[in-house]
Amino acid sequence: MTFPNPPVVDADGLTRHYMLPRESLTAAPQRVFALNRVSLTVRAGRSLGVVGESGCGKSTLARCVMALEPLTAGTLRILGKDPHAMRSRALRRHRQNFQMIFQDPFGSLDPRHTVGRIVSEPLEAAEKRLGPDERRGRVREVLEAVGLRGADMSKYPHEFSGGQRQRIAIARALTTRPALIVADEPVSALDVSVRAQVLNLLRDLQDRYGVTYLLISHDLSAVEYACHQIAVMYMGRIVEYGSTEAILADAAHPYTRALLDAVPRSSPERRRARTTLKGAVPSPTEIVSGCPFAARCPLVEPRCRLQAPEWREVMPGHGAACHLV
Amino acid sequence: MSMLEVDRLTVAFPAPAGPERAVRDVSFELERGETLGIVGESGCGKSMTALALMGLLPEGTDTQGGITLNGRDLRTLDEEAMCRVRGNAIAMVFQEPMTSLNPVRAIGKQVVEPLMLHLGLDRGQAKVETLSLLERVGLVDPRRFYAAYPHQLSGGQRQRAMIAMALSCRPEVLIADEPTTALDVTVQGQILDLIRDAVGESRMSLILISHDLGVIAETVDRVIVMYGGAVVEQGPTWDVFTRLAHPYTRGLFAAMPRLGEGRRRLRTIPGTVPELADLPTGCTFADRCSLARETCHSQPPDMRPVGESHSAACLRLDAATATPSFGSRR
Repeated sequence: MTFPNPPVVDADGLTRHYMLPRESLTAAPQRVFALNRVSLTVRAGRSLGVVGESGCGKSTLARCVMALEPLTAGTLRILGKDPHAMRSRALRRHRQNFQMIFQDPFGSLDPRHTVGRIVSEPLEAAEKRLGPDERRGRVREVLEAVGLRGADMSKYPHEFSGGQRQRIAIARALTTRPALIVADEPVSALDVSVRAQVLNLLRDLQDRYGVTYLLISHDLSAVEYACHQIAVMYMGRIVEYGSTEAILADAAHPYTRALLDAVPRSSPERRRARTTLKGAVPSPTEIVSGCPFAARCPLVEPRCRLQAPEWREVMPGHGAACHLV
Repeated sequence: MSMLEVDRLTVAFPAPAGPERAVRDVSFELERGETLGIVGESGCGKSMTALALMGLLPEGTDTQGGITLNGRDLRTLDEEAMCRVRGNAIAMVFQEPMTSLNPVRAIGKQVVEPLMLHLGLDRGQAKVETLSLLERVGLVDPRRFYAAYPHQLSGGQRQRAMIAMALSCRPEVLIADEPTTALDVTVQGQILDLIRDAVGESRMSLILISHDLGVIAETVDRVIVMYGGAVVEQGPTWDVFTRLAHPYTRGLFAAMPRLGEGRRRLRTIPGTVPELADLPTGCTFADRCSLARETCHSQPPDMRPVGESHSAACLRLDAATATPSFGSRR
């Protein structure tokens, strides 16, 4: 008998709009609709991959889930508690439950701090009661968990390669033993051979510690490898959601199919004429009345431009926002 | 004789810890209309090879070997003569168009420049030619793009403008260094199609540099795999990608997550790339290779034939090709 794991992330209608600076005194203020009513659930020990082109709102989603940015509307619960509704001291304590890994392992580690200090910093903020020995023990433990040595504690970031630095960033995210790790393009800056090492590591850590991942990436093959569920975003909305197998085998939304089709394949016998999408993502400063993808969709119909599509289930747990589903 | 011949090209940079040999003994030939891919990880020397062809290596670099274009040795040319070749006979498209376009000049002005400089057109003719070039690279409404500044364009549009500039003097060789790495996957397809069509139409030769095995597989006829500054395998793309003779090529393929393969565990290559200033005496890959024997650490490997015009630099080639290839899996 299996019970569904409890949700670690429960997001309902997350919306984030930015005000743009006025072009002139009399001009109407413009807004960027970065995130529009995004709802999702990630259960304990599972991983959700969020994919989409640049500007689709996937990084904004990550920052809102991490409570690094305020929400315009919507509610978020991490382990049942809303970080956006917390005062700063309570939020700081709550943060030990959710940590983040960034894309660039060169920019995200302070070059003047030792690895030991970098990795123990979240502990100092979250668990003040830990003594220095316990703290050092914890740092050693996570460094070893990510495949580095305890002796690396006294070294500085510049002494490590890109892949090793990303391991340090992962170790830092693990020190507080979080339930959730939000990773924004964690392997995009890494070379192929190192990328595989880090992807394997992320999965091993999940098997060992039961961490939940929210993984943001433009790389569909990395997401397929690392995630149980996939959410496809377009212009600040989730346009398709489902299990990785369902999305890969039977994508329902034309945008998802175009994204999958655009990935170059390395078997030359499959050199093919791909169905390339025309144009790029339109400007997110306007709310379109119809389907946001209508302007680039190869299957567009008149109703798509007039009426926003509703969410439809293809199968239990797999749905898409498209009239043609 | 081939149109472009690169013969034992070696590039070394002076560094405190001794010269860093970024490119070592790289040789290849390129026929007219042929497309060649150079694939490898960062620091493998692929971009340095391209910059050497363009004569754009920083001052103080020690370059050895020959680069012959149509029988003319480019290495013996002085800067003035090289200026007439660069952008004219050999043109280049870079990875990040925002940093290679001039931000304070309109796109049109930048495309006009090589036309006036190399082809001797007057401003009026050059403008007419520029408008048709912009249209050809898919910038519909070319008049708008002619007057636009780089920051007003999207990444894909900027790369199109770069390609227009590179194509302007109808080069014989087009070098594209990671032309789609900074772009979204949907736009990447458009740009690769554009490059492929342009090359096909005008019988240009193409050197495409990429770390993405998929991009290489879908775009070029022949491929060179580089590691630690040297060529480890080269041959027809199809042959190389199905046989995967060199252990490094195999490792690269096994390490790459591929769409449709699900959660099958990735094989990794242990360790990291060697320091260019402190390269091992033998095979540069030996420290990371599971097949390495004592001889691999002491004796540098030479290129050995694997198939027709397909060769690999490995002393343990027999052992490497005896195990089933990863390339055959889907």
